Amino acid sequence: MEKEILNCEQQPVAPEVKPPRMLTRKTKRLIFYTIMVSLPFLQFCIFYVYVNIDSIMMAFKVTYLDSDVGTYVQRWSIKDNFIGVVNFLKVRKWRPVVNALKIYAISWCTSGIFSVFFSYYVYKKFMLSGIFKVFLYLPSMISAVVMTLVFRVFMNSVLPDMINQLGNRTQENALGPLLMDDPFPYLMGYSIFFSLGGHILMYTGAMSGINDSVVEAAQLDGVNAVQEFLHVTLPMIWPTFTTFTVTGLAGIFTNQLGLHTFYGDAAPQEVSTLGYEIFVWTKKGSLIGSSPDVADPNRGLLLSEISAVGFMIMVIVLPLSMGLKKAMTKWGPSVD
Amino acid sequence: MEKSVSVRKSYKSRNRNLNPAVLFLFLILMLYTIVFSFMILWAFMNSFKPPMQWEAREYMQLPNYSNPLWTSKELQYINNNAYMSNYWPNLLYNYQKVLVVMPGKAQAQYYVGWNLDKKMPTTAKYNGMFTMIFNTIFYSLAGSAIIAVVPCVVGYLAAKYPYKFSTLLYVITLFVMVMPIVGSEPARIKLLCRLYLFDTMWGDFIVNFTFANLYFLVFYAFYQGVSGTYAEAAEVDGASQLRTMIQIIMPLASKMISTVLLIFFIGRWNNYATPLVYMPNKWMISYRLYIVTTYNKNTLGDDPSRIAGAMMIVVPILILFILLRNKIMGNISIGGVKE
Repeated sequence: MEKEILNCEQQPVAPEVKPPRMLTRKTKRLIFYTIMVSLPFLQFCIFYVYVNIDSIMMAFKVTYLDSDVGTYVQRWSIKDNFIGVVNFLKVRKWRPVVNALKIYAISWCTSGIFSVFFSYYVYKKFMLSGIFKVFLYLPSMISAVVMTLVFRVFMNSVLPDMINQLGNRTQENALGPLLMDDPFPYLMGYSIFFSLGGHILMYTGAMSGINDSVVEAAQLDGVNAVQEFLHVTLPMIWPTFTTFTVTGLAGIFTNQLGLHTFYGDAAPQEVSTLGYEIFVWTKKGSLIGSSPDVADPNRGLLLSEISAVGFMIMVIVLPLSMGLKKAMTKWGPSVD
Repeated sequence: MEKSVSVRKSYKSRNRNLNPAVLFLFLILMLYTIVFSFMILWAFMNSFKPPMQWEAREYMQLPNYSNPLWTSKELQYINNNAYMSNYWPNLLYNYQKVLVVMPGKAQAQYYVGWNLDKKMPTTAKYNGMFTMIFNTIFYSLAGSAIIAVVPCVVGYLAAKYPYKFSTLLYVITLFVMVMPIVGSEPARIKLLCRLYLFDTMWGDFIVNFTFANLYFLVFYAFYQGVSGTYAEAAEVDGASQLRTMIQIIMPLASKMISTVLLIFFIGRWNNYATPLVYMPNKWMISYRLYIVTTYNKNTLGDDPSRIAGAMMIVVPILILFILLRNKIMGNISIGGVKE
């Protein structure tokens, strides 16, 4: 017996063949997930995180000519860019900021509200709603270059000529191009007109998500179209309305009013907006000021000053956006 | 049941009755539609008008080529502009003028590698019509495909792979949407210059290779509502994760992807501002037409030609919109696509 055991112990053991290592489903999922997410996340890290950190740093750096060395150098400065921005706005009598605020307020009160009404009209399939939906959506499909060109030609040539002919005006009191002297009302009208259908797809999408039984219950209670809108539809789409109002506030200083499409780089200062100034001076891309005189009306914004504008806007608008969102959520119509 | 149906019908018919508020909306919408249609049709008509007829302030009349006075003036115009000598006033005269002035040499300046003292003019590049058409289609199609697919893929991963990182992706997107970031363009241009991607389409594609936008939320919500059994069944049959995503999961959202793709295709086709800032030497149709009709107005000497230029951008898009309007206007909501 002992011998047998010994024999057994002494038998050469066949080398153990390990089965091929199989990845578990969990591991496979993790590897796939990591590979697929890594590129978009890397893009986010570089083109959002890095770019915005660099933008903030640019706001605190100035570029100047070092006359001793004869080259351009950068140095840190806490206030120079901000002083440059304030001087730039002072020369323009703060019109770019005031205009941006005016545009937001007027747009919200007109196209912001009417786009909800129109979406309701389309959602309830009132008369010709299919055609209206197409026409409300069409401006977002047609190039702004086309619409502004047609509008500009119409306002500067056709309409004044028609008014002059109808009113038998003489050459002395003839009406000139309407977009020359005080174009703000016309530009604002244009902006409202072509943004009436703004967000119509999102609003009608949100409205069609309302449960039919809720609408039917309201109708059983005898509500009319207006009551249904106020007590059923509006509370149900209030989160969507809040989102667009808040994001509109966040974009308050980027709104150009189509000025670059109307005037190129030469928009009248009376109608200029901060968004327009940022776009134009970014395009020009100056690192060094062409004029050292900060009171020079032709002095523009340097690239580092644009970063400073962005930083200032972020500091001001972020708490405003948060506050507005909280207020609209708190005091808005309740679904209950 | 029958009673319920009849009650529902009566409510629907009551809804369609016009009360004063609805009538008010109807009138505004009617006015809006008439004005909008008039402007487009009027512009289209005037794009064919001989410039001399426009100078005679015949703004509302149909194009007329029979007036000998206009013809002689046109001849004078043609003699003064050598590049138009091959053309005779006809129906497409204004369009021919636009096509003649559009090609050219691009020579915008920009910072080379962001060296502060090297704002150098680039080598002038000739952009012919075919180059511009190719640039426009490539920029619109490839760019919109990236914009549509990246949020779709990341939205799917975030919705169906319940890792903590997925929650982070969702939070990042909400943060990006709420954060009012303005004025970061100089830093972006600086980075693109350093990477030698400024003035290239690849630079634009990489910038747009982002998931953090509204459509991430749309796809995220959509895939949260999709049952996990589709993917599990494919995996049981031996499909890899990638194959499952491409052949099973993405087709589920194909309508939504195509809607987003179409919307962005049209948006990018019309966009002149981004190429103007980021690709000044890559001419595209919309960008170039903006230059010749608005920025350098004197390039085209008269309004009918400028309007003809504008119509060249809008006609292909209008045709596309008419053909695919139901797809384009499919209701996208945060909860997905409604049909």
